[in-house]
Amino acid sequence: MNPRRPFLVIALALSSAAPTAAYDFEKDAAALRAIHARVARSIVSVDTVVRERSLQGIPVDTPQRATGIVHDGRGGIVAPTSLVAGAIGGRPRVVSVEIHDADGARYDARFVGRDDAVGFAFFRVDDERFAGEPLEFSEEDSLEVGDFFASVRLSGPNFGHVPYLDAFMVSASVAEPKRCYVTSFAVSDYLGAPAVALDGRVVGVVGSFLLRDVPPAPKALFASPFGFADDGHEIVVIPFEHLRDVLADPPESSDATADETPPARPPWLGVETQELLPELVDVLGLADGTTGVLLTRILPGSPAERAGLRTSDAVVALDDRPLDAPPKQQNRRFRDRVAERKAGERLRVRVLRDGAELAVEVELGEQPLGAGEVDALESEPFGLVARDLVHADRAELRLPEEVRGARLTQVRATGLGGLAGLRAGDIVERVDGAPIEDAAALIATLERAEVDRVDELVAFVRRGRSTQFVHVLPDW
Amino acid sequence: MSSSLTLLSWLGLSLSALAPASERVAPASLVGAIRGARERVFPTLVHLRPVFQRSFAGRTIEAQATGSGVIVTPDGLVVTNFHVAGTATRLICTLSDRRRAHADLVGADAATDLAVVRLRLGDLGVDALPHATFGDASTLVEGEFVMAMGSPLGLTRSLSLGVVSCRERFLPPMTVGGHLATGLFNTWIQTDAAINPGNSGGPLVDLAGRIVGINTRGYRGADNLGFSIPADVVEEVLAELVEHGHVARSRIGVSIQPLHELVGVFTEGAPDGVLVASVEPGSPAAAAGVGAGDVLTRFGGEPLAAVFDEDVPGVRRRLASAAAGVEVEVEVRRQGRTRTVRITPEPWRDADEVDHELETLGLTVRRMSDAELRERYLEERGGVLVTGVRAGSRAAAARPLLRPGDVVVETAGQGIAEPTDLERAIGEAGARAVLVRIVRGEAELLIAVPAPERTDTPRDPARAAEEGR
Repeated sequence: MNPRRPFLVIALALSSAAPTAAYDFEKDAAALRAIHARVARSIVSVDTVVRERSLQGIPVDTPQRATGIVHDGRGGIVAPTSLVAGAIGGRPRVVSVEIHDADGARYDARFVGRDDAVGFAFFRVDDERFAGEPLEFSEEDSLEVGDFFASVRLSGPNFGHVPYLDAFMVSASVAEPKRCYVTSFAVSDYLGAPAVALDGRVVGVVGSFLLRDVPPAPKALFASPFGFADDGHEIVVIPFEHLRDVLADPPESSDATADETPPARPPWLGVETQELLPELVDVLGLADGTTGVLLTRILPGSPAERAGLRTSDAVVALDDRPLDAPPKQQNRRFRDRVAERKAGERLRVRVLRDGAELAVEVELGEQPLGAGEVDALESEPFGLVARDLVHADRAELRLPEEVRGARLTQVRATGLGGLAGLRAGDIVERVDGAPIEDAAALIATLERAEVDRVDELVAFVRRGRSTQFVHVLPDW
Repeated sequence: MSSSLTLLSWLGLSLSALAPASERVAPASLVGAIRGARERVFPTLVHLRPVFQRSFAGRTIEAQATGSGVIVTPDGLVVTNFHVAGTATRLICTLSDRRRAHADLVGADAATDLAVVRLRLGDLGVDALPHATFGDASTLVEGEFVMAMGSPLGLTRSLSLGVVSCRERFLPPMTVGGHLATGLFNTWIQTDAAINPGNSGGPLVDLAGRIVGINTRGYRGADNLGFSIPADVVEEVLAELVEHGHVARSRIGVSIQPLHELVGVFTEGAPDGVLVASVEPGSPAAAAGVGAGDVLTRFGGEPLAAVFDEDVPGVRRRLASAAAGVEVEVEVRRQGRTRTVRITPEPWRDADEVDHELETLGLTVRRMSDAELRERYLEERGGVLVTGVRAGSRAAAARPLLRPGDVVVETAGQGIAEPTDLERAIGEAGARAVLVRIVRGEAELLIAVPAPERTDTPRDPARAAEEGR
């Protein structure tokens, strides 16, 4: 498992070998055995399934595994945040957590919170039988370069979750940007496991730290969990110092089912813009040198619409700060200025309209959920994936508020739906005359149709500006 | 000689292989029938070489086409395709006896891809010309012999023989001239008689020498798949074109769908009526309370029925034939209950067949059809579609850039619904820069079109060269 093991043995042998006295292998081995025995009762193996949605809205489940440490007597477990991170850069949601202890016993657990400053997530086992013993960290958490520390993790299920012991040498002691210890030994299997000095002190946890500044990469579709992409993270020993506060008061969501607390939605004004080019300034009769943006679209139901902003209004200032960006940067400047604010805040928009200047107060809303941010549900026999309607659908198709339905994001040509003529992009509004409220209702209707073995279904769909009936003939 | 013998013997074989009990033409008489049909129709064939205008890169250019036609009246009315002669500015025709004559466009209808031109009898020094007569396309049967006559690839006086492959073929709506919807109102006679480019507008003739269709389309990349507009549709459109120069149509704002297997869902037993798939908001049908899922059973007193796709074009033709602005009684069935509503159809709006060139601006534009306006959510507001921007022109200097596909909705503060509105607004702006409001996708942009340059700019050399030719 550990390619450096043979080297480690040699290194151990050399570290305190003296030419005249025999090295006391038995002493260090006894210390390691004691660490193994003690720590094994305080660690667990944590397996999570993290669900994200692809750009098409398809759920993508990623299994994650790491070591967790029992940190209180009530089933509290601390483990790396990689357990709650996705693999494709979508908004991850933890859909299941299970843990195993050193006896191989399995328990359900729940995700209760995370602390991104230290990179740890918190889980809890609500099961009286769970007998994990809290691990005592040592306030004296220093290690020296050349010191060895031991760590214990549980093997994967193939070996029945047996505790593995290993020892690593401190290769460097890092002070900036945060104090931590780096080992050049392969320690990544021990992510989340405690680091224990050979004298028995539990000095910290093997974790991931942001150590280097790397230039911001373009937002990748496949964001990586810790360490594997060059995002500046290194796997290190995080000393107890950085964990003390968060372990004393671990983040805990009040909602038992809560996974990740959703980050605050970005602010929403609800407009599209074009640059106020000098040529336009001229023909519009505005003062020379006026800069800003022209509103090209006011999205329906948006804060901008409510505040009375209009298409072709020239926006010249936000919050009394002029939009004085150079040419070709005005749209961006406008967007950035709006993005600096928070949903719920009031934004003062100064516009020129029909030769007059007026100030419009807009209460910024929350960015509506995008197509990739709502659940997509699949019907296998009908060969389709559907999601709820989002604001962008209503804006694109100018759907009145009362229109309800489920939007098909994928239709397999050879599925029952595809064979009947359903297409990706269709909005299913009714099935057999019954209104379809959302994606869940559509999928439920289709599942019921499968259970009941119905011989036909008539879907009423909206496609672009018109509607039509689609006759689906299942062949169960 | 030997090749025609080969052909004939091959024909004899296939005939005996086909030979149904109710054989229409005995092998012995086939050769005679073909010869008879040829003798009747060949003298009525016309080879057309129309000159027409089209726009290219923001300017109008002239081009020439070649096609076929058939004389249908002694006074020289020639039926052909819209895509042959519908936008002709000059028509030179060659008759089967190789005499040449000018012709004038009488009327054209892109929706059925038909056009009518009138030969100038004076050019020919005659009072009357031989003409062909129409037969009945509805009694054709698959396997029946038909001939395509015309000028494939300009090869005049050509005849090809085949059979009716399908009497009533439904093809989804297509476009002609790049943007004009066509094929909405007719099914097609499919034939394996060779039809090539140039055959367009020529007659499909039965063994009795009657026109049963006008050859219009082939399938690129396919062999022996030709499509003709059935004679009944041709006659209907011909009458309208001769009388009015165009076909007046109306719309009630519904799209219809054949009942197919939905018969049991939307009707009780009898497969009568047509299913309303979609009702446009604000349309005459919507105003009368018609909704998607309703079944229209009668229109102006006549029964309607569309069970299969093939039935749809006929129903569309029936609905569109009502006079715009005149109330019509429509019987509507909804959930088993039938009621009669009164709907006042509105005029059918076609797109411009030919783009308008606004030469001083360097822009080609055209009027959009109802369907095009609706696609852009502009049915209320209207607008004029930009089809081309001439390089180096005022329009090309507009900022932000004006692009083909943009819809001009306002110019210098005036609403623009027709190309002439735009022309006028630009004219009135004179030497000033002009603010143009366009719709592009879902956004509405303002565009500054610069003032015309003071000095007389030398004319675009490419254009001058073109006109000098």
